[in-house]
Order: sequence, then C-alpha cells, then structure tokens
Amino acid sequence: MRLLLIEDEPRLRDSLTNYLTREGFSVDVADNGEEGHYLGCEHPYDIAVVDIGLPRMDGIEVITQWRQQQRTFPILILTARGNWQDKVQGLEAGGDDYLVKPFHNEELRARLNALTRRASGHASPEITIGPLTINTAHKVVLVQAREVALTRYEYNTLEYMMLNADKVISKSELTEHLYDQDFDLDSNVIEVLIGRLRKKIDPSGDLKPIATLRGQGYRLALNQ
Amino acid sequence: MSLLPTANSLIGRLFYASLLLLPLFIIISSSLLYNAFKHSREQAENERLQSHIYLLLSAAEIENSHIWMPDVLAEPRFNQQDSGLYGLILDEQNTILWQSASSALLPATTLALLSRQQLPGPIIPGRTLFFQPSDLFATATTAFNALSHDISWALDDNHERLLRFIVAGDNKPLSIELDAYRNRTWQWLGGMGVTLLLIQLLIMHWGLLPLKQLSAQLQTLQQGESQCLEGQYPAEIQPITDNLNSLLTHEQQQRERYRNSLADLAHSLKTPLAVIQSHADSNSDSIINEQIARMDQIIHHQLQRAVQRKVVPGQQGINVAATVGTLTRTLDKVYRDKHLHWSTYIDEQCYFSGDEADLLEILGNVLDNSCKYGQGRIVITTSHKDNELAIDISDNGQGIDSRTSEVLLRRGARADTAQPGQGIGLAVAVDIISSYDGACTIANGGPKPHLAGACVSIRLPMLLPQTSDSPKTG
Repeated sequence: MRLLLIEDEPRLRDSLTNYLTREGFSVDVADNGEEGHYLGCEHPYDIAVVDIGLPRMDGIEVITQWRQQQRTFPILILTARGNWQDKVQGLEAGGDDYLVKPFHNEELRARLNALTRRASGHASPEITIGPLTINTAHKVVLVQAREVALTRYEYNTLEYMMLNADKVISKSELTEHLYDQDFDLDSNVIEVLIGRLRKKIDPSGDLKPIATLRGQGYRLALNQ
Repeated sequence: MSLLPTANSLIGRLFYASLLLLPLFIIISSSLLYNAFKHSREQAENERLQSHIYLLLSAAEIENSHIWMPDVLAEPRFNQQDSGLYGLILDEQNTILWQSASSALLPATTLALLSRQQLPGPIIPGRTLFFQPSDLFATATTAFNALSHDISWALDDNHERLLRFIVAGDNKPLSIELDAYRNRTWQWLGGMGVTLLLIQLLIMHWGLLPLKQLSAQLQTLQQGESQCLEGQYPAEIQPITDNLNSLLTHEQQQRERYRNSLADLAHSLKTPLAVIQSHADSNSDSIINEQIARMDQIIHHQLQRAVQRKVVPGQQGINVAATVGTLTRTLDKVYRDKHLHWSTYIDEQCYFSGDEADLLEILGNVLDNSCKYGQGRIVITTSHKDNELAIDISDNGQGIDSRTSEVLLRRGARADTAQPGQGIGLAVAVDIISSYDGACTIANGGPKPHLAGACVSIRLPMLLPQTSDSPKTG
C-alpha cells in the first residue's frame, strides 16, 4: 500500500514513517501542504494521512483541492483540534476519517486498514477469494484454511491484488503502489515477487492463482 | 389589545401625566379667563352706571332744602316700572329722598337692601363706589350691580348738603352672560384638551417610533436573526446603536481570537504529545502512555470549558435540524462499515440558543457514542415546548450501565477524570449542557419511536419564539 503522509512536525513524521514502513506501507512524506498537495496530484496513492495544521497550505485546503481534482484515494485526517466542528469541517471537505492527536500507532494502523479496505468495497477485514483468505487487520494469509508465511512485500502484493481482484494490474501500477517514489521502475523485482508469491500460495501448482496477461500485467485468477 | 398605552411604557407615562395635568391646566385657564371677562364686563357695567349717575346729577335740583327731580328723566328706563334700572337719592341718614319711577314696585326689602343694609359707610363727597348688593335669602332677581356717588351740594345759605346718588341695574343679564361665557369656555377648553391629548398620543407614538424599531431590532438580535442593529435612527439614538454595534463586533472578534488562541495552544501541545505517544508505543511504555492519555483529556476538557459559552445577544440561533443533518452525513462516512440507519423526527422550528460549536460538540459526542456502541440503528427526535428544546437520541446497542451513567450525569462531573471507554465524549456533552443550564438523562430504552439501547435525553433552554408544535418526520 502506497501511503502519503503530510506532517510538519519532523519527529512525529519520522516516527510515523518508521512505524508505517514497518507495517508494510510504502510511505512518501511531505512536510508542508503545498508539497503534499503536489505529491497527491502526481502519484496514485492508496491512502493519505493529512495533518490539518500545515505550513504553506492548510490540510483542509489540500483535501478540498484534491477532491476538486478528482483524487479519490481515502484520506485520514490527523488533527490536534479534537472538537466536532473541526472534525465535521475536515470530513465535509473530503476526508474519510479523522484521528485526534495524540493517538496510538495501533489505532492509526487500524484506521488506515479500514479505510483502504472500504475503498476497495470490502466491509470486513477478512477478504476471501476462492481458497484464498487474507486478514487485512492482522496481515494473515490462509490458503485452504492453511496459514502461509509471506514477506512484507509478498503480502502487500497479494493484498493489493485481492483488493483489486477484478482488475488487470500492470507491473508499473503494482510498483507504484508497493514502493515509494524513489524506487527504480525499470527493475524486474515485480516479476521476481510474483514468482515467489505463486510458489508460496500454490506450491503444488494446482490453483494457479495469478495469471500473467502478456503485455498487460497480472490478474487474480480465482473465482470470487 | 387596548388602544390606551400601559403605564409602564414611556408613552404611557407621558400620556397619563398629561391626563392628570391637563384638567388642572384647563381649570386654571378657564378660571383666569372667566375672571378676566367678568372684570371687563363689570368695568363696562360700572361705566354705564356712572353715566346714569351723571344723568341724575344733571337732572337734580334743590329748592328750599328739598331735592327736586323731574317727573320724566331722559333715560326712559328710569321712568318705566321694573325696567331693571333704578335710581335713588339718599341723605346722610340713608333716608330715601328720591327714587325713580322704575323702582316704584320694588319691595320694601329690596329698597332697604339698596338704601341701607349694604351701603359702603358714611357719605364722603366725591367718592364713587361700585358694589353688588344681594340678599342671601332673596331670589336672583334681587341681585344688582350698583354704583353710589357721594356729593356735597352747596345751598344758598352757604350751607351744604351731603347726598348719595345710587344707580342700580339688575344683575340678571350680566349673570346670564357670564354663565354662558363660562360654559362656552369650559366646552372649548375641554374639547381642546381632549384633542390635545389625542394629538399628543399620536405625536408620542410617532416620536418614539425609532425606540420601538430599536426594540424590534434588539429582539431579532437576541433571537439570532441578525448580528447587529440595522437601520438609520434619529440623531439622539444613532450614537447608542453605533456603540452597541461596535461593542457586539468587538465582543465577537474577541471571542473568535480567544477561541483561536486556545485552539492553537491545544494544537501546539498535542503535536508534541503525539510525538511522545508514538515513541511510547514503540517502547511499550505503559506509564508514559497513561500519563499522555491523561494530559490529552485535561487539555481537551479545559479547552472545551474555555470555549463554551452561554447565549449572548448577536449570536445566531442554531437550527438543530441542520446540525443533525451535518453530523449524520459526517458519521455515515466515519462508520461506513456499519451501514447506519437513521430515523429522524425533527421539528424544523427547533433552534439552539447558543454557539454552533457547542451544539456540534454535544450532538457529535452523543451520536458518535450511539454509532460506536449501537448496532447501526439510531433514532433522533427533537421538539420544543415552553421555551425548552428537547433532543432524544437512542440506539439499538446494549445500553449504558447505571453506574457509568450516574457518574456522567452528576452535575459538574469532571470529564477529564473519566477513563477511556467510559464515555468521555458523553461527559464532555453533559458538561456543556450543564453550562447552558440544561439537563441530560440517560436511560436504557426510551418511549416509541425510540430504540431499546441507550437513550440520551437532552433538555436545553430555548429563547426563540415558537410557531409550531408538531414535529416533522425527516
């Protein structure tokens, strides 16, 4: 999951970046509203975390402009002003959820998971497609009720494909959503990742869960 | 509605003061006018009698110490019986030496009245006196206007004789004239008084119209329909409205500055707290976590207490229906997974007499709890009666245990001492409601259409006039 974090407080920004990276998010950061707005317009993020009190451009203004420019990714608002007037203002501007400072990291992760899940149209943290089940809250993968251990990138790849099960996902799209903006898009790391994923969730080769569409990308080839 | 003004209004005071003073003024004026007219008429009567005295003097002759008067005098009324004009000549002993033919039929008592009983003292030659002899027991016909003129008549033997010439005229015509004048004066002055009162009433209404306009403006201000006093006022009132508007603007700006400063303070405190929280989470430090949570609650509580306030003039009345609509839209977004089902029975005429942020905080916290702890169904009813706004919110959750609700509903309970998960939001809401002199109760299951879960009933004072009692279903 590619996440944009806009936070002006350096220590909180670093701390959240470290935590979210550990939790499997590919995090891009901005320390002011203008830069954050630019990044949000330029890259296809899966989710954004926006602080309200930002230099150069207020968080509410960033969200409002994104929505006006048809940026539809879910937005979690971080706010120090915990009153309902500010919450309502943020949500009416286009935010999808809010988190009042100070907050526990676990709560932030849970809210982010819920938002990404909702954005793909899943109500429950458990997503099942054919024999494959993932729990987005606990990041657990089950194949025919058997737990499979995956690395962070493997899990993220599978989660993204399951959240977009009816789509053909290009290699570049996958790269953009799995890695931050500094990643070299020309490398063949995605092919390696898909190959490893196929082996882990379908060691016998019976399920053939991921189909390769030549020249187009990949698609989850399981019945929903 | 009575046409007359009430005594405790400015118009009433001026009107009733005039009502008391005007009759007094009319009585005094009437009396002065009457006396002036009477004096003038008596003066004229005096002059008329004086000319008759001269007539008698010119006609009188003394021969052998006896007074002699012609049988027929030049003034015919002296010759005609009961003509109303009588002449007498008296000596020093008030003996009638001569009386005009007109007085021949006058009763002896009347003659005595004229000649003796009320004469002004002894004869002093050259003295002329006007007097009005009247008999207390006599009828009006015996009242006279009389003039006496005393003379000393030189006789041939170098002696002189003292004589008194009296001419009396019947007072009745003058009396009738004076009565008629008095009646006419009363009627005219009375009529003018009533007219003056009515005109004064109209003038006062017109003159005090700007005050009435100011009062109406103040009412709209209090009801929140406007934020300043609008319109042009007379020069005497305009400075007051200008100063009031300036005061209101200043107060609003000061409130906003105060509110922003506090929000900024909270923001600048909470971001460092978030940094500490993030590090504490990384190191699993429960003591720091606990203290951060406590500090956060204290900041939130004190901030809330500092910014909440009661209704002040110039504050907009907040439509409850609009606020509920905003919050349900917002919460639908936050709790999208729960597929919330709202049943709202909202009276569109319900207004919250206070600050919008406070209403948002009250309803936001209560509705957030309903969303959080309910199973997705929430019923909201609002109504108003006897200047009281009633908002009831119920959900289909497990309800709230009596111990928690008891702690939360204790008036003045400190929300910052509540523990997470024990309804901090509700405690904040109760705190705000208390500051507005409102009341809040929590029961499990309310009357229909309410659901079986927790039902929060909020009662708040409402200052606005009501126009409808029947709630509408939204």
